[in-house]
Amino acid sequence: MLKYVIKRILISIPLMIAVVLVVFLMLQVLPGNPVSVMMGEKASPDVIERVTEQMGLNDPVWERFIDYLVNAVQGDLGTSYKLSRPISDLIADSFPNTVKLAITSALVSWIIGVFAGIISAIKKDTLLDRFLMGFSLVGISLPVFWGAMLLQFIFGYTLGWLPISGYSTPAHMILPAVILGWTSSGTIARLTRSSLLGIMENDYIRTARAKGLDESLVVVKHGLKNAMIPVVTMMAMQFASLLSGAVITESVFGIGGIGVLMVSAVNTRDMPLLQGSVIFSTMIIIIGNLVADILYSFLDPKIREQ
Amino acid sequence: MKRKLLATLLSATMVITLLSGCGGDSGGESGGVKYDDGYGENVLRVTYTDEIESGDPRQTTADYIIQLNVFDTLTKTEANEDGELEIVPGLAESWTISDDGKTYSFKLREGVTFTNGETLTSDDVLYTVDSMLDPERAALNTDWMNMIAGAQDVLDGNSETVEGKGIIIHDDNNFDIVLEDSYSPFLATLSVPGWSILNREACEEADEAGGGPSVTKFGNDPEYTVGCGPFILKEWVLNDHVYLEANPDYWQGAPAIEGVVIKVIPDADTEKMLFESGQTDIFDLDVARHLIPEYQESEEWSDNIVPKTVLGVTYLAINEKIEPFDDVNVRKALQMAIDKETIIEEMYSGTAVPANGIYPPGLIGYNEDLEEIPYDPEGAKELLAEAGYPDGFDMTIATTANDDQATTDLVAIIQQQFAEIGVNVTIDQMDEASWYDVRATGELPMYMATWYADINDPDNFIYTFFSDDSTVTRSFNYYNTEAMDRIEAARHMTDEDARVKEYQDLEKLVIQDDAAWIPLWHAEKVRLVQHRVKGFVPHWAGYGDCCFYGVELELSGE
Repeated sequence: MLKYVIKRILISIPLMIAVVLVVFLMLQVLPGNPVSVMMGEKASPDVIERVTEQMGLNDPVWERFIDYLVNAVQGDLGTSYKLSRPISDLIADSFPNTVKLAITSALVSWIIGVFAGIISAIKKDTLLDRFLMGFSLVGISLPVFWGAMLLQFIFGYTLGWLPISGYSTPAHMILPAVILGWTSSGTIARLTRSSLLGIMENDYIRTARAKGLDESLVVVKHGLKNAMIPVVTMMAMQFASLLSGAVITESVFGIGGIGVLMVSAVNTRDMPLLQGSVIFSTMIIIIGNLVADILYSFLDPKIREQ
Repeated sequence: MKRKLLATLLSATMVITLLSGCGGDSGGESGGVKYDDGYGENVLRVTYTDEIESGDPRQTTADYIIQLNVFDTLTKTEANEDGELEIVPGLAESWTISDDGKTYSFKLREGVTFTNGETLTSDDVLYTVDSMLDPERAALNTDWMNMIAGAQDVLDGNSETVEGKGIIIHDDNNFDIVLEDSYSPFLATLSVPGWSILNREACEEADEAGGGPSVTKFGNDPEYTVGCGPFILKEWVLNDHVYLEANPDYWQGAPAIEGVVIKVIPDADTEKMLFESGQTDIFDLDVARHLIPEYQESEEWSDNIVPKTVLGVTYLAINEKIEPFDDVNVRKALQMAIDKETIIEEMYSGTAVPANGIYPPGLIGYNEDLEEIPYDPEGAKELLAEAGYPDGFDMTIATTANDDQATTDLVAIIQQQFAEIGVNVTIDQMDEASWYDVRATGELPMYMATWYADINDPDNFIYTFFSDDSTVTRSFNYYNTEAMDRIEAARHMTDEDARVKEYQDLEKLVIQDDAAWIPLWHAEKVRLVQHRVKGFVPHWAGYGDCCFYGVELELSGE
């Protein structure tokens, strides 16, 4: 088991370095001088030239990449052009908000998803099943920004029950968690349903029923436990992607997380910030997949034996 | 089944109701408004579309909301009772200017303290200049100081200070600033946010805490950000809000409000909902110009619209290097081909005035009597025929991928109007960075842009585009060297009336006789304020950023 975990971690390292290289190079080939964008209309050519030199942007690419990599390993991702602060500080300030949103919306998503999936599977082909699957399909198809605005309009603006924007109190997290949770619950619901239906056709389920076990016990103990393997993996991956920033939800609700940080970096052509936040998000995804793999091997002994 | 569905929906609603009762129990209440941000009622709430750039006056050329409220400058630009802009004393109580226009002797106001308790002295002014020019800092606002004697040496790293050369300190409150050459708009220059006076001790502490001048904590970390303006930078929650607290020791007296919350709201629809539900006090309609007619007609809001003519001008740049723009008749024809009145009505809901020159109304040198450039497509066609293009020609307008929808629409309308005189426009959308790069080489085709005043002086407009320094880097390639020499000379004229006259003549020459650019309009900035907001004064130049010192709020208990 330990060997498997170590192997998976070691495989991740070259992947991470490759990600840094690709992101770095991609942003290097973008045309134009970031300093002129940063300073906009008000810039005079000699100031642009001076600042470009002072920022070391005239050094060769490979030299800057080595510098970047060496610093990045030590946790220094450079300084934001626009906000003039260390990028690691900016990420450290934003990440907790993304985590808050990720945890609350993941809970919403998991609870809705798993329950809807179980009920649908048990009540297969009834009206309730169709309704729940329809509900989850709406969730998958619903554009997040539209749903978010709708919730803001109804619960924030018209009824005045919940704050429209911001993240300073727990109440602020309800609307974003509900919309983000709902839109990600569909996948989980459908996966739970199909996985559970598959399991329920197995012989050992029939045996359990035959020995007179209560149906709910059959479903939960014998069915669900086995059906959850792919679902848990999906949950871990979904959580990782939530952690890497829910760009739209964060923007609409004004939650200062990684997503908003990335959007503002794109809008202001803040290359070091964009680079830093993209690398950070990718790392989160890689780590999320790693955790999913390890979880999988815990749940399913067959995998770690391979 | 249907009953079950209904029951599910109802219980969901109930849960949400219960949850909403748990949170958001902070803040005051005003006229039924319950603030959910945790600040009291006597706090002004404004919004910002993006995270605010650094609060360090040396490190931003765009966002000035912190600088205008937390720091103070030696002089200030203010509108007097007649609405005319004038330079008034700020931290400098009085000054004299030598006959050759090169030496400015200042007397600093006594008893001004920074919020760290330090008293303002002449040394702080010296530090402000030296630290801006310090090459290690890579500061962005060096343009405002490079006319000071010895500044170039500091910028080039040959010297560490302008002391003794550009700034001569007599005592704690008296000092001279010596210029390399006379520069008439210097007093106005001292009022720009980039000239915010900094405290040496506080800044050095902040540099040290951050690990050097280029990564200073000054302007970013409230703990290290010290000014002597009406507000104190108290709290900065990234991508959420900045809180400015009233400075009780401000030299003009403490502000009437407790503080200002600046909320970062990237989404225009969210902003509208926040304003209409009373959660914010000022709504800058630049983000949602399409809402202007709705508010203009609204009984509730029409009296709360605060329009401000921006000291700025929207224009089309003409690159004379590209054929057929080297022909003055072609340029004049294009000037006449645009129906500005209609565009202003349709696209700006009437909140703009047509431009015929380069200086906006309100700016020194603005010429009311400047001849109007008529909308005359027939006359334009005749001019084109005269120039040898009876059937028109093909041309390009360059835009950037970062343009907002309004700009994209405007360019499309101009494309149509040019088509009416036979000129076929291709719109070339470029990456913003390439756009700037190509422009700097002088090769960018026609483009639309807006220029805002930094200082109340015509030099800030005409020199920016039609001087030897920048006519190429802004892709005008203006050829009239005689006019450009006069523009350079006008900077150094000391007779104010003669200078204004010269600038008006130059405007007529460059914009109308030579038709070197296409003036479009001077837009208004339109804001909506809550009923409780009193005494709000927009920035004199019409920036989005303002100083909120004079604002008073009507509280619900009153």
